[in-house]
Amino acid sequence: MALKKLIAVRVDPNLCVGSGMCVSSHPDRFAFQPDGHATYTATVLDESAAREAEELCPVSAISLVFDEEEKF
Amino acid sequence: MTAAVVNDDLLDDEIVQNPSPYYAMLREHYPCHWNERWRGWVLSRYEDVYNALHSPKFLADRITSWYQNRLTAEERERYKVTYDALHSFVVFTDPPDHTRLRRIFARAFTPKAVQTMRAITEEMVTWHLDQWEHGKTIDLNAEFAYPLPANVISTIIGARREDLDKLQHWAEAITTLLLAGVGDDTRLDRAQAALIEFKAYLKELYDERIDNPRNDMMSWLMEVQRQDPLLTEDDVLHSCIILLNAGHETTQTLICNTLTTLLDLPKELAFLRANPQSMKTALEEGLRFNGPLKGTIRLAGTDMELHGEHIRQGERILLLMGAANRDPAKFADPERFVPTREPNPHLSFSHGIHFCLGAPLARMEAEIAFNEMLRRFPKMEVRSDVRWESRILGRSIQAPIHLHLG
Repeated sequence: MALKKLIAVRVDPNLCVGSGMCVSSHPDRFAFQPDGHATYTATVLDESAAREAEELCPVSAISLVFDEEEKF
Repeated sequence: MTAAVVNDDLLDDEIVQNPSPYYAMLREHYPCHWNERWRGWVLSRYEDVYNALHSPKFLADRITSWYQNRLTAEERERYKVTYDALHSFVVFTDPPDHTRLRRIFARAFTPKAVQTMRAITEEMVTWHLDQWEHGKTIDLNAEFAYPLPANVISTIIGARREDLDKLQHWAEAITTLLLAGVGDDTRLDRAQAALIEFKAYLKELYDERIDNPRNDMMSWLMEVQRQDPLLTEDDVLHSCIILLNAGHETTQTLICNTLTTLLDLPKELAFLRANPQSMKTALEEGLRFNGPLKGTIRLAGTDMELHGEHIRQGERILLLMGAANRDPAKFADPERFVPTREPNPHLSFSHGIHFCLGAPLARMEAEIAFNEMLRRFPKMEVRSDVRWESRILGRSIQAPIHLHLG
């Protein structure tokens, strides 16, 4: 069985345009950096918030990284 | 400051036809320039334009000050409908209104939603190209660049096919007001008449969908409205108007500018014909190189200082994305069109909270259109002179553009 565990929420700074869709929908999870890009700032990994933000992002800059503990 | 040596006529034909040298001079010597003729500040460096687009001190609502300061009491009364509509256009609002309005589109324009629009676009591109014959010359604007995005966005919203002409007429009247380059006293009246008819038409579509939602943008927006008590019916109708408007003018210009630029570069064109997967980056380069908008306007929300100049609250500021996009401090070899340039953080879709809602749709439309055109008509060429329109904000080529299909 493949156990998928969320290990990180990434915002690609080369793609992020600072539209703020993630920040306005989940202000307790995402925030703007001084350079205008958004990052995931919460210490807990909130998969449903991250998934929603991933879907709302107009430039597909957000990705969820999973640790796939699959057989080798 | 030796501003006297700077040409403040932004419509000077030399600048309009080839803005690069002018932009370079501004970036280098007058990065924060008071343009006496235009009565506002001009920013041209990438870093400054970028920061302004991301800063809450630069306000996007330039409608309220226009309405309150430029119009007489009588005019304010007469054009209240126009003001109310424009004031609720997401491009002219600042937070918190902006945040509320932008939410309408949150689910309507995600990259995923755009994939569902792909079928409509592919069908329309095929339909257009099927009518073209090798050896013929077409009017690129009239026969493709204008009708394609207009029909795609109208269809996505849910307009009836037989009404497309009416929609285009209304959209044009509103766009003319918004791009207000040239003084035309009738444009406010025309825009207001168009807004009223446009809204009444969209209200019909809205009412038809209250009990019978369909798979179209109007229904999606209504669904968002149902779940969000802060959104009103007017918000939905005005949002449809702005979508139809934005979908008309800018995508048309994107297609014309990028195709014309590409057809002038045989080596790059040959590369793209052989590598259609590179069309994505080539398109971004087209946006950077000759994007549909040279600039956008903001108002200073507070007094501020930039490069030793004092900007006072309420003064207007022209952010030259066109100049920022060719800033050597940000882009290597900025005056060269590099189809594989990556990353390409151009500002042509704006940046920050006003980043173009329709960007994923515009990108998809242009990519499908260009790849299919190159595949079917590999030898096409532009047979008319490229002359740029005399506009302060927009950058578009004068019609007609004669495209020989080869």
